[in-house]
Amino acid sequence: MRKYYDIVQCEEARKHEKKLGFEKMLLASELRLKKGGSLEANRKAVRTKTDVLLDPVSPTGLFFDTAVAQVAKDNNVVIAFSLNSLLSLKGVQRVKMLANMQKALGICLKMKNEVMVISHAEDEYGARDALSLVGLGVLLGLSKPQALWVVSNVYEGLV
Amino acid sequence: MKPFPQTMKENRRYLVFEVIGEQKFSKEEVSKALWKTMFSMIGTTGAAASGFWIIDFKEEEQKGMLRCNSEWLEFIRGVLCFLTEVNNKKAFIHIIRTSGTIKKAREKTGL
Repeated sequence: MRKYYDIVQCEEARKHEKKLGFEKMLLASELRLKKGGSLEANRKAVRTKTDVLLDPVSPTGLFFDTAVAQVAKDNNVVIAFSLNSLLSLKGVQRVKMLANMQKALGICLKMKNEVMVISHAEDEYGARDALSLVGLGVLLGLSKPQALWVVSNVYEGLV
Repeated sequence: MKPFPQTMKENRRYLVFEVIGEQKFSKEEVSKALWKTMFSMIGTTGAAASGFWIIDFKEEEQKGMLRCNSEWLEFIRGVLCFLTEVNNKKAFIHIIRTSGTIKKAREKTGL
């Protein structure tokens, strides 16, 4: 049976861990997780010892290209796309963020990067069930098998 | 009139869901929140094409059932992630089970 993993921000968000169908919800504080969103932050994150680069894009721009993706691949940095970053935005900003995420995910697929789709929940109401995250992956432009893979696969060093 | 060909008939999927929130919500409140999310994410045409419809909601259990086309199933799951509040209270939708028939969905979930 497939096991699903998620990354959340606080202990409170793990309240419904088993109910939502996850094998384990990893705490962001336990990982070397760095937030992207600008060219400087992305470059710095992929060049230093980082496990996960969270949301390399922002509503204002893509800031993620094949060069950054290649360095991330060489240094075994997982690129994570979070639901929380989308939920925190509204209107046009959310539309732009979603579009940039789709483009960045396309680059990740082309460059064969390690990708995760996570909730990165701030509280218990920010968490979503495993198959909803698969749905989010499909919304971001993945096929269903790819979306299942990015939610269920946990990369070396994360657990 | 010729009958509608079976091959062109849409395959439906029934999703049993649970609303987890700060308080218990009425059917009307949940319905309003679901439709609002659908319209904001995929619009009127998307909602029409997906065959989205709320079938049932039991207020005591906070569980309900909705319907969509099989081709849109993953998409609808993704869209429902964006529901963050019902009647200005924090809440989210947990999809318990997906089924091809209402009968099976009710049997397996006790709805």
